[in-house]
Amino acid sequence: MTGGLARSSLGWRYHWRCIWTFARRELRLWTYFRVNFTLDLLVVFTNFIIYMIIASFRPAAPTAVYGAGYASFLTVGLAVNTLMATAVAGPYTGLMDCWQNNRLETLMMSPISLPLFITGISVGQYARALMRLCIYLAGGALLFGAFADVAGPTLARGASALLVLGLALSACTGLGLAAASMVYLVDARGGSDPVRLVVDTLSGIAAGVYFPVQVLPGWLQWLACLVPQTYALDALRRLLLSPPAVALGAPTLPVHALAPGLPPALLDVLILAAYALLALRGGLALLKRGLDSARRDGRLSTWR
Amino acid sequence: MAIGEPAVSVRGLSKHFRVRRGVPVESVMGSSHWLTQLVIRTRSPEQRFTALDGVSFDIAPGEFFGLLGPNGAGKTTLLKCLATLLRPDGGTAVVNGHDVCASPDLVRLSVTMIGSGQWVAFDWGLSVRENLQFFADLYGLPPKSAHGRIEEALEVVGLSGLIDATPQTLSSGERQRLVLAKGFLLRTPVFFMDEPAANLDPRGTADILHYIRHDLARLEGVTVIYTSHRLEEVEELCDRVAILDRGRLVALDTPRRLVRLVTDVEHLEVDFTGTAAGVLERVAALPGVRGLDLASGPVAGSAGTLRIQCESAERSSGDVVTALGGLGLSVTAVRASAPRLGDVFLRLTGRGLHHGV
Amino acid sequence: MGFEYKRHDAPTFISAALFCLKNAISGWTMFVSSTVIDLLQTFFDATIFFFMAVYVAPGVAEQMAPFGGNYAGYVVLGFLAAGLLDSMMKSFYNAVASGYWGAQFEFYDAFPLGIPAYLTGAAGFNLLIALLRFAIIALVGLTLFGVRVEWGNSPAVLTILVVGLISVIGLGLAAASTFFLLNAKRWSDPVSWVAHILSSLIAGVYFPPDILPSWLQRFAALLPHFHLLRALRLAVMAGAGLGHPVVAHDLAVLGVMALVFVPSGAWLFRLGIHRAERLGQFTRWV
Repeated sequence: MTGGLARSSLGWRYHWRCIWTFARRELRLWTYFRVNFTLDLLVVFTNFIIYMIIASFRPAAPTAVYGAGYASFLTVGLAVNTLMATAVAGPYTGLMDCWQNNRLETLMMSPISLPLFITGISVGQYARALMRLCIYLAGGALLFGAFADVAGPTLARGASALLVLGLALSACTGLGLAAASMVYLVDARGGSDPVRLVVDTLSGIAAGVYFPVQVLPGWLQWLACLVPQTYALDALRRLLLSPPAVALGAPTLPVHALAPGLPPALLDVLILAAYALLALRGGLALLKRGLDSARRDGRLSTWR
Repeated sequence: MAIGEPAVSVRGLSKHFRVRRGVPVESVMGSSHWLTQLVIRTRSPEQRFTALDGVSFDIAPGEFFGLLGPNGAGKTTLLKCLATLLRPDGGTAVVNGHDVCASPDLVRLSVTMIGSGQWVAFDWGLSVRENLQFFADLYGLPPKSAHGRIEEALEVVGLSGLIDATPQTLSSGERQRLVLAKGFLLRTPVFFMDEPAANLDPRGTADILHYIRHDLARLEGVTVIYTSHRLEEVEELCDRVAILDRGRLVALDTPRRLVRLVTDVEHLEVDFTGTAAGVLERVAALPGVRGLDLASGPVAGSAGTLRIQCESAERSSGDVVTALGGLGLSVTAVRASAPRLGDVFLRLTGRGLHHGV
Repeated sequence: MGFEYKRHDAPTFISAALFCLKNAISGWTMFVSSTVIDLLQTFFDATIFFFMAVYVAPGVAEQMAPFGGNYAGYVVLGFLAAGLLDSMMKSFYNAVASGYWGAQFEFYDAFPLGIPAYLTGAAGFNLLIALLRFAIIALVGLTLFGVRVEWGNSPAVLTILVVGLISVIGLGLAAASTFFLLNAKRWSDPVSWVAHILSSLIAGVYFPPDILPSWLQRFAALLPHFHLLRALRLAVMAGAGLGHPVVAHDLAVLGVMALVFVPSGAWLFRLGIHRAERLGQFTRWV
């Protein structure tokens, strides 16, 4: 008699194969409609052009603290934010897609774990985000002179930037898991949820994606300190754009004044690390609760 | 799972849903809209609908177990509880040695669920092969064996020639075969099959059911829980049959022993054509008629086949023909029939599986 | 026994369109949190452009003189008005896409007036929501964004908006036709994209077209967005009425565009429907 799958057979190879399976599927579906695939690329590019044209109106001058021009500032903001926004939106979007297409029950019958499942359904979003990232970086550098006024980063600063990015994406993923849990916890099945409303609004308006935080009134700057994107953008710009003397220098966020002895970039990293730890655990717990509630009420699929 | 332990063990399993049924409401937003529901809540309390009510049974390893019951009896709810897709509200269920509430992940490793509407889960943009490859990878099938399994599964369901077609180009029967092929990729110890032959033509149904009964169950020893509306399938395939009605288990035994419950009456089948109102009520009122069911025909009162339980088939046949003729219906055939599982349901619940009184 | 036939008269069309509109509203409000977020989203997007404009304003002080130097208000009004036009344009495409992916389009085609009624209802819903969003921001946000609104001029503003929206209906139908003609089925279409990029770059959404080369300005005049934005800014920020020569000229141009675009768009859309009927493409499942 044959048995089911043994737990021991589901090692790291299985996990990588599953992620690759999801990625392959997403890529195939994404490119299935050629017109839309082309438009997807063009829309990203043209929206980027619009932002950069507006940015070009600003008189050429170094952006406060970070040192580099506004084109570099904005390019880094758009590029990094696209990854962070994907981390926040990916789980919700993936879960909603599964629910709407009645795929969720079938996927939940497979032996994949919840983290692997979330990674799998989000992987397509990350592929698109990486595409946007390349467009922003290449477009910014080639068309608008971004990074021309920036000294090349050192290996140490590059590695630090990757660490910061990793922490930022972890924190944003935790928020994304919480957002996904809203599908079932508060019946947010209309395409938007309260977690992303708050996070996207604050990060878009106040985290410094499109303009320095100093442009905002004081109370809005403090609100910005609630989202991890603010710290990630501040730290990454210091590491990637600023000359070394400036990188660890002047404070930019209100929260920096609370620990004047610490370099602002280091404080950003510490806050991000704490945020990542709490958000990941809390988000996963909320999502588990949401899925349990769905199983209890028979809401895993659109049809009971 | 230890030797001697049942493959599936269910004790007092219950499942309730909160619904607001039967509350007529006129609303411009639609009755299910939250605004309408807010108004309804002030008028009537939330009702608890019991889908499963204290169901208990054991299934031995390798057994082919049937679930029978009308629409809304709780068959799909029961299967979903056992497959960990629905969390029961009471009782326990152990599948392949693991509790469905305490260890759902371990249960999922050892079960396969095949349903009739699962084709919507396939990606329309991927080919049949790519869709199956996706699930083979998710199930953890080693890549080397996945290719062979996919071809083997498609061969079984008769879709080998459509391996590179996309699901959106398949007919509804072919899509259901694809669902079956997905289920056949992995030989888990337990299979839950919820009307797997829905939308299949008679030839396709026969081939696939033969494979399920002979290859999967007999040769490989897989435990199968099978639901269907087709009585002949359940009678022929299943070692034992559980009859559900309104969430309760009303009978559980082999098909042969179950039909012995109704050997104290005789059975008539009457084919008729025409349409009239009140057919069932008129025939039920005849002397000697103990129960009846409209075995075929889309709605009560239209052309079809009446199945009648009576004290004497010979005496009742004349009365039935006269009664139907009086309603303007034309009787085309009358025959005595051996008792069947549908008759058992009628006896135990007082209602027909289809349309009965 | 008499037979009954499906009707295709005006009362049936109106009742069917209203039913589709009611359905769309019901679906949109089904999930409260999503409804609220949807209404607030435009406000937050406008806020981003507002602060960005504040940041770059010193660079365009000269060009903003006719608008009281208020570049932030200029950008926000442009963003909102262009968003309204884009919503109107995309409403037909979105209705077709929803019908296709929701497996309802085939059902609607079985009735003589099914598809026109469905499109009218669904597009009408999209228009209502776009106007609702615009109204919320107009009432609440424009003042916050530093746009001095001449409320006494509301009739002129409404007239400009309505004529402008009608002028893009034809483009919207053309956009919807690409769903079947170009197989653009994943929620984006080339017509809307071209209109969006051209209007953003040259029609004056984010900066005055005066700074562009003259040949580009002439090209910009071919877009409904150019005329709508110019007339709307004059009406909202400068109190110009319908009698103002520039506003009157822009309204006339928008009217002519409506007369040209609507039949052309309708013809393209019918072409798309015929193609779908021929190839069996009303639903993703055969």
